[in-house]
This record gives sequence, structure tokens and C-alpha cells, in this order.
Amino acid sequence: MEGFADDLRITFVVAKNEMRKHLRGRRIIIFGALLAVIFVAITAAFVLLGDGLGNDPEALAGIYLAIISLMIIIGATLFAASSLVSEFTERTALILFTRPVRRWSIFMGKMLSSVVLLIAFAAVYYALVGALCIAGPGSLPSGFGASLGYTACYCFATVGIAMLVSSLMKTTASASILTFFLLALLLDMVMTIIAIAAGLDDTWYMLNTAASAIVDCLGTDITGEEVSVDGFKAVGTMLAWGIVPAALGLFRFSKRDF
Amino acid sequence: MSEYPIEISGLRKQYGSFTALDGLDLQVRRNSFTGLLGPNGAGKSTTLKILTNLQKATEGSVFINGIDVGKNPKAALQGVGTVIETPEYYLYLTPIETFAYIGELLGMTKESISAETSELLEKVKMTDWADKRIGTFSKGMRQRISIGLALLNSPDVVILDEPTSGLDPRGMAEMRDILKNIRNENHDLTVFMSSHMMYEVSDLCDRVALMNHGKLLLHDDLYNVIGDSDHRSVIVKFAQPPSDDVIASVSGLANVIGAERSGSSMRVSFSGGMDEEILLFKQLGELDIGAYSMSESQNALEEKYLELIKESR
Repeated sequence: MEGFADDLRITFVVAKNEMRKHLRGRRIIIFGALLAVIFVAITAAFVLLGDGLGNDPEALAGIYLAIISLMIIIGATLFAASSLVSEFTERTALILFTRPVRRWSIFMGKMLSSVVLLIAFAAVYYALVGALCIAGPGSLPSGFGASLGYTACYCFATVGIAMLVSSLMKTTASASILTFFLLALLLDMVMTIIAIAAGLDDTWYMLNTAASAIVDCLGTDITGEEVSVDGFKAVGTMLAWGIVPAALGLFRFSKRDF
Repeated sequence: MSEYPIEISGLRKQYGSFTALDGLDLQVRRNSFTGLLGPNGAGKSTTLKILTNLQKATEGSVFINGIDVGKNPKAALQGVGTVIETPEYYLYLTPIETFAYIGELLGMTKESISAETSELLEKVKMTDWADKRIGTFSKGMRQRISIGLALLNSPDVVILDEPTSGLDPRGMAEMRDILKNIRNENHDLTVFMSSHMMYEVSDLCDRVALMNHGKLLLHDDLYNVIGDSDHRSVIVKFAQPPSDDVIASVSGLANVIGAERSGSSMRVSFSGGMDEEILLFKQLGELDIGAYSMSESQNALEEKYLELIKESR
């Protein structure tokens, strides 16, 4: 195998090894436990408050999915933020970078494994929420599949940003902290300041505005008000937030000396 | 096929205002075991890191098998095994899994990975640890894994950066034994190894390159480097400390400049080259004075090294 096809083959080899690293590590247990606790806590609240699961599948799913973007931020922090920088801090780059392997294959393999893992977790969470919707209200909410699609796009965007941070930082701790606060707070703050300064009312270009499509596509937002979603704009925005930082991260990673 | 699988041309590396490499030119001869010597900060590790695509050169180029590493690292590093410093491993993997991972990256088939892994783990004496997680291994064991991994897929060039650095004396001796076996068993292999240790280089290498301040001071056959002075020295070992009579007898041999006792050994200085050394060996046997071994003095290389380093300051 030669050229691009071989680079792609190597990307999958790297992704497979990254996946194995995650599966044998503690982070996946922490993340899985966190998701399980949240799911059980919300369900327990329904039962304990005595209202049961109700008759509205959209409202029910909306409550469970309101938390998913925060969980994805935590997942991207756990799985992607340290993936590149750890090659330098843990000196495994001395094994990997000295082989006939292009840096972009390494980068893409690591990014792919983080995205796939986050989407897999999200899919399991959606499956549980879907099962509850069928068990309670009796049907899946409208837009449930689209919501999962938006979540997958959000996974891609957050991992792209985490990869950029990972390519820039010198320690895994600083990469993880910066990734979390960037995704949860700083990005929104900076973009809001820019919007106010520029006098913009519509903040569709912000990642978290686009990510609100995850819940909004069910027909109502978390306050229960009816909303509509421009799907193409939301998907395009999230993909751009994934692609641009990932491209910058790849450029930096390719040039980084050991 | 070029006579020089490793070619370094006008190599410069600048870290801010510090010049690590200053126009380095070096060609490593095919099938040689070349030692790269130099003090700390001489630029040895930087040279090897640029050769293995861990760093980019500020100027100049490095070629492996005629391919520019800076321009096409993937093609240049095909057929190259490396051990740079003391690498760390993916601690969640066993040696077998590590060999499989690197073998897959190299495009090897599962069958050849499996066959070579067994053979190489045997060679580096790690068979008993093949399925244990590397996280539990000592530094010496990890370094042995590194050497085995460097030989995966039968490379024709192996680049080693201070392979015994940080090991305890036993680990160093084991590593040297492994490297000697590699040298003796692979006649189509070019090894380029940096080291601080004169003993290691004189024991393993047939060619020596000396560098300081990022420049090459000397590059030649070990024998010529050691012999490139007015006199040469050998160490002769005896079962008992040699008597004054024995010292006097040896001092009187042809070409011998001097002989001095050191415990049960004797350091003999003589003028001339290999022919004179052969003659000395023969004469010592004829004297029947209880000598049982004769070897090149390690100090010869050290003296030459210090002399060149001093001159280059």
C-alpha cells in the first residue's frame, strides 16, 4: 500500500491503539459513571417527585438532553485534551514519531478515536433516554434522531478544539484545564463580547448557540417554549468549529519539535 | 545503493541564540558500526533527533538511503530502527502488543509480526516478560524492549542515542552484549550510535565520529583514530602481578616505548601500527611470562578524544 491509502491505514492503526488506551484507562470508567449517575439522578427525581415520566416525550427527552452538551465537554476534556501533549510529556513520541508515519496520520487517528468514543457514549445515553420515552409517554420524541446527529456534530467540534489546545500546551494538566474552561466558559464569553462590540443580536456563529439545536430540535427549548432550528446552519457552524481548530492544531502538531 | 546510507550536509540547528549544530557534515559508511562521541552539548542528540524527524533543522539537510528526512520523513524512515534517549512506552501495552502496534504501523503482516516478535524478544532476553504490562518494567528492561523494537521489520539502518544511558552497571553490560550480538549477527546493518562512553565505543564500534560545539572534529576508522598518534597502548593481563623482570623483558621488546605495572595488568606503549601490534602479541607469547590477554587500551581513545576536544575550545 502506498501514499494516501497507506497514511489512511496508519490513521486507523493509531485510532485503534488510542481506543485501546481509553478502554484500558480509568477515564472511561469515570466518564461512564458520571453519565450513569446523571441518568439515574434525573430518573430518580421523576419518580421521587411523584409525577412519573409524563405523557410528553419531547419534554421528557428535553430534560435528559439538556445536560448532554456539558457531558460532551467533559468527555472531550478527558479523552482528547491530553492525546497529543501526552506523547511529549510521557515521551512516547520517541517511539511513535521516529517511525515512518506522517504526523497527520497520528493526529487524525487520535481525533477519530476521541470522536468515535464520545459519539458511542452519546448513543448509549440516547438509547437509554429513548427507552424511557417509550416506557413512559409511549413514543420516541420527534426530532430525536436529528438531536443525536447534532450531538455527533458537537462531539466533533469539541474534540477539534481540544486537539488544538493539546497541540499547543506543554503539560496534560494545563491542556485539560484550558480545554474545559474554553468550551464551558471562555469561548462563550469571548464571542459574546465580540457580539456586543459589533452590535450583533443573532449569535448563530457561536458554538454553544449552534449546540442548542440538540434540545431545540425536539420542538421546545428547556423552558418549554416552542422553537425552530435551522439545521444546516447549526450543523455547518459546529462542523466549522471542529474543522478550523483541528486544522490549526494539525499545523502546530506537524511543526512541533520534540 | 549509496555507500553512505546516512548523509548529513551543512546541518545547522539554532535554539534562540544558542547554536547546537554549526554546519555539520558527516557521511556514515554502509554496514559500519559508527560511534558518535562528544561532550554534553556537543550536538549529538540534536543530530540524531533531526535524523529521526523529532526535530527540524534550521539549515542543511539529512539523508537516509538518499531520501531527505526533512522533505519526506515517511519514506526516509522506512527501513530505519531507532532508540532515542530512553523512550517511554504505552504502559497499558505488553511487549507483544507494543511490537504488534509498531509492526502494524510499519505495514507488516500479522504472521511476520508474530514470528519476528518471538525472535527479537528472545534476542533481547525478554521472552519471559512478553505478556506483562510494560508499566511494571525497570529502565533496563524497557531499554532492551527498545532495542528489540528497533530491529523489527529487519531495518538496514539503526540509530541509537546513548542506549546505555541511565542503566546500572549490570544493565549496561547486558545492553552491550545485546549490541555486540546484533553487530556480529547482522552484516548488512549500519548502526549509528551516540555515546559518552569511550569504553562502549571502543568495544562496539569500528568507526568513530567526534564532534564538539556542533561541528565534526574527526571521522575515521577506530583503529586509525587510536593509532593516529606517536604511540599506541595495549593492556596485557597476567594471572599474577608481573615482576620487575617481566616488566624489564617487555620493555626491551622491539618497538616498545615503555611498560608499566597496574595490579595484575601491564600497560605497554609502543610505536607503530597494526603490524607492530601483531609482532608485539607474538613476542609476548614467545616470552612465556604468563600473559593471558592483550587488548587495546581504552585510554587511547580517551586521550585522543580529550586532545581534540581541548583543541576545539
